[in-house]
Amino acid sequence: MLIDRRLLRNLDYALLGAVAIAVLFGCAMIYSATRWNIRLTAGNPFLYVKKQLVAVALGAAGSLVILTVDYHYLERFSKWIYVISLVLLASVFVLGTRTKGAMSWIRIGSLAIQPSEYVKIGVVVALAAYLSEQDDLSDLRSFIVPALIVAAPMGLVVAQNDLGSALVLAPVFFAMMYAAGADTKLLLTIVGAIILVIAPLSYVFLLQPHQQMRIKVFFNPGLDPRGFGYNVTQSVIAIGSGGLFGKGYGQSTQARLNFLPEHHTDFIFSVIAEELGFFGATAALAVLFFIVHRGYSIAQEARDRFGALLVVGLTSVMLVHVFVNAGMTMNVSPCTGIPLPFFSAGGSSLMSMMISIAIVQNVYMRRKKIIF
Amino acid sequence: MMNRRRTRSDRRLRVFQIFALCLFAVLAGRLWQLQIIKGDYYERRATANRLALVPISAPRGIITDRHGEILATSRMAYTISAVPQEFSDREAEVQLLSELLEMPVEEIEAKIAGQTEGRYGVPYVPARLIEDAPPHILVRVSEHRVELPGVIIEEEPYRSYPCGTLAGPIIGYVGLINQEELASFAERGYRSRDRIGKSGIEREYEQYLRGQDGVTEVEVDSLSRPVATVGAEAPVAGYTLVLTLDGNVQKTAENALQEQLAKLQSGKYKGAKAGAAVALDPRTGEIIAMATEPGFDPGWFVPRISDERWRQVSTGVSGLFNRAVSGAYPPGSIFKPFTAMAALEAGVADLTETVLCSPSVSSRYFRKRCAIWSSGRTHGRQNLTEGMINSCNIVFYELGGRLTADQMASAAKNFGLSYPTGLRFTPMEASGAVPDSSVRKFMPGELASYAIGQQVTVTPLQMAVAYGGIATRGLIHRPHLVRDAISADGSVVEQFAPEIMRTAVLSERTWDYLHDSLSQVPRVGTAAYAFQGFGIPVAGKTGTAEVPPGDPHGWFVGWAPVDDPEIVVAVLIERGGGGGSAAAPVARRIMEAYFHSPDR
Repeated sequence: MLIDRRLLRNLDYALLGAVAIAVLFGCAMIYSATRWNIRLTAGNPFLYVKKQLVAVALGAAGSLVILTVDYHYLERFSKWIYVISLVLLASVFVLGTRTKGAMSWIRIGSLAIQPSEYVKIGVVVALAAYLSEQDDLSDLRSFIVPALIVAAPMGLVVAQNDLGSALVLAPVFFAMMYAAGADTKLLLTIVGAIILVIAPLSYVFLLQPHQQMRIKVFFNPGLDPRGFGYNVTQSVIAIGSGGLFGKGYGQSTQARLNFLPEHHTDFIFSVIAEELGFFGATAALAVLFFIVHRGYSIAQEARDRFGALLVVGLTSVMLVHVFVNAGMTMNVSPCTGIPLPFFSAGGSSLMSMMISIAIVQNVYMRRKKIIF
Repeated sequence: MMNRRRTRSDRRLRVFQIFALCLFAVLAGRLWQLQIIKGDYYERRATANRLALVPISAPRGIITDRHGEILATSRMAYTISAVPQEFSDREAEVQLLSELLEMPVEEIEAKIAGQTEGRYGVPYVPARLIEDAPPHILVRVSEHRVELPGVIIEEEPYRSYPCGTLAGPIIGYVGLINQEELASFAERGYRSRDRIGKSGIEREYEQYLRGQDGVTEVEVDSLSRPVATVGAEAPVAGYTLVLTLDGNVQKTAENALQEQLAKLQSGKYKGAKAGAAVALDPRTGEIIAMATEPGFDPGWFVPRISDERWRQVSTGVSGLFNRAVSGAYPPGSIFKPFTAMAALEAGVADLTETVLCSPSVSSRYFRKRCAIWSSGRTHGRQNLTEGMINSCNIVFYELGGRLTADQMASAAKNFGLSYPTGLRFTPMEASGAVPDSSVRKFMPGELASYAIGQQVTVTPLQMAVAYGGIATRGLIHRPHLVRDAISADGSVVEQFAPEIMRTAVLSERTWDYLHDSLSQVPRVGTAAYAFQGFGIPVAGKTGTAEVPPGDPHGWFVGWAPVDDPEIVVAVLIERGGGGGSAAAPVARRIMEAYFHSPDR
């Protein structure tokens, strides 16, 4: 027996159930969104569901392995994990392929992995390990090392032209700093400075024209409804036209007739809202909220500081993904290529989320000394 | 120490829960806003996204003569079109098409691009390559259907005129709607590629003839490729119009005009190239025949007229000019009945008095002459009746001297001259001119020429209507060309009933005089030769209107039978010479055709 039975008894089954519901819900919507699109599925309506289920199986296997290992090993090997993450990320420059302008994939045979999805976990582990050692985070100097830990992978992801994925790490950094006890005033000052000073400056000096356009379109989707504003415009139409009860499962017009692009990946939430209406969409949000809620609860119950910070970090990654993705479909947040956790089609995203959940469960299982 | 840190950490982790809840509330709130509050709006946007409406042309209404003979109808034409999204191998298919259609590849590509690409492109509407494709090309394309998945053959109603030039200028023609028409007809649902009546009945009764286009609702994807047909509404054909025209009489009128013009041209009158004839029923105003030469075949305009044909009908003696309704000509002697009635009603002339017609009296009439003098003869002493029968100018110069311009003008206007007759037709009829003292002052010499119809202008239609008024002793009907409008389901939508436009009041003595004198014209007067042996009593008047330089216009207007008028005919031959020789024979043939018709 690889895992102790008593450890298994201590799993958070409510969290496990919520994740299972989210993944199955996602598969059902992926099927609905792709089965019409012969160009995408090459005649096999279950193609994307199959791919998703393979990722589930791989993710489950990985999760089992993680559950057997005490999460404190992560702390012990955090430096190695961090370095491997950076190397993996850097390897994209050598081995990577380019999709939709962003170079973030590595192809190994027929398998394509997106290192940036996994690197988020590595960064959280490293940051949690570092912060768990720090008692005093009250002055600016104490922010330097944790900021660098996050900035290095962020820089690499930005260099791969995937600004959206990189920026996800910023709120996660602040969340973990806050959880680690950083001075609130200092944190707020830094966040304020970023929003009011650094963001506008970098918009003007650092962003490329197409990235600037994304931001402009966020504030005014009608600016370029056939170009940069197209996705969001069509997504808002899809969601709005769903109404209270939706058009019915498989009955979307925006997705089926291809007005809504990327409807099985980035815009799966729009398909849910169009086909299942307000009820279906809030149900999906409720499941995701429950997962996040359980995550932060587990952080509270963690046996030690490293466990708590680890779980806060991983949960925050999920929260940011959910908000940025679902927000994007409704023009609440700018358009980025960030998937909806557990729902969007895509192996790397799903597996990294399952691994994150496994780590959270790991922390939960070992919240107290196992009584023999 | 450890405990304090734990509680602080706990408090901070609770902040995370609240923060997460807030973010989810924002998302749920936005969902509510989009789906519940603005749901209807976005549903409309989604529907507009996915549904495209492809119109199906409705056939135009049929036009028949009074006996039901079809003058205009619709036939099915086949249009070969391309749907570029459906090409499997565009280059090869366009190449094959080019061979089958005998059309260069560049032309095909240009036509496809024009319809489906660019800012105004409508990709789900097929690009039309050949309209009204000839049968041999249709067969060739059909044989290669399998190799040409991107090519479709569409059926479309086209106008067809089985009788060719018969009544062509009356029926008018149909053409593509132009920008101005589109602007004024847009609210009635016309679109930029619609066909619309351009002249004649086709234009005047456009609203009746135009059917209700059908529509196919097509679901399209984001690239505007048709995915499925969602709904369809069948087109409804336009109304059938039953004209008052009698096809046989019409045909005779046109033939008689053509033959007469040919005869005159081959003889003395080289300039006799155009003419018009109107035959109507004075009891109702129904137009039995209306001919104008030269004419045209409305079929020349389907689907569009060739440049060569267009030059032919639009330049020189134009076939597009309807002389019967739009041509205003000096009437010459056919005006004399109005002068006579003015004199009799004013009491300035007496039926018993006589006037001497002789060159010796010319000085009394401003050196004006009587037409007969050129042959070396004179009319001698004439009373008013003889003056009418022989069309003696001297008699009417005398009357003109006793009358004012206003008196003659009002007699003519009483019968509708100078006013539109009220015929519904496009283009709008000419109204001619009957000037009086309000227009200008007339010198005595001009009054003399006024009396013989040289100071006014009239249309052949006006003359037919006015003489109809003389024939019926004062009832002047509005002339009309359409009897009934019948809808596609066979019910009569509208009947065009006879309508009295005006009544002319004259004394019985004057009516008797007019009927007596005019009925002798075809018997013993200026039209006697033309009506020799005609079995039915005819009343009428010839006219020879001077239009220097060149030969005069020849006129004849008359009705039959004299006492029970059924038909009034007005004939004008431009530059045809004397009315008795140029116009009267045409009128006789029209009357013959009418009275020989078994079901007149």
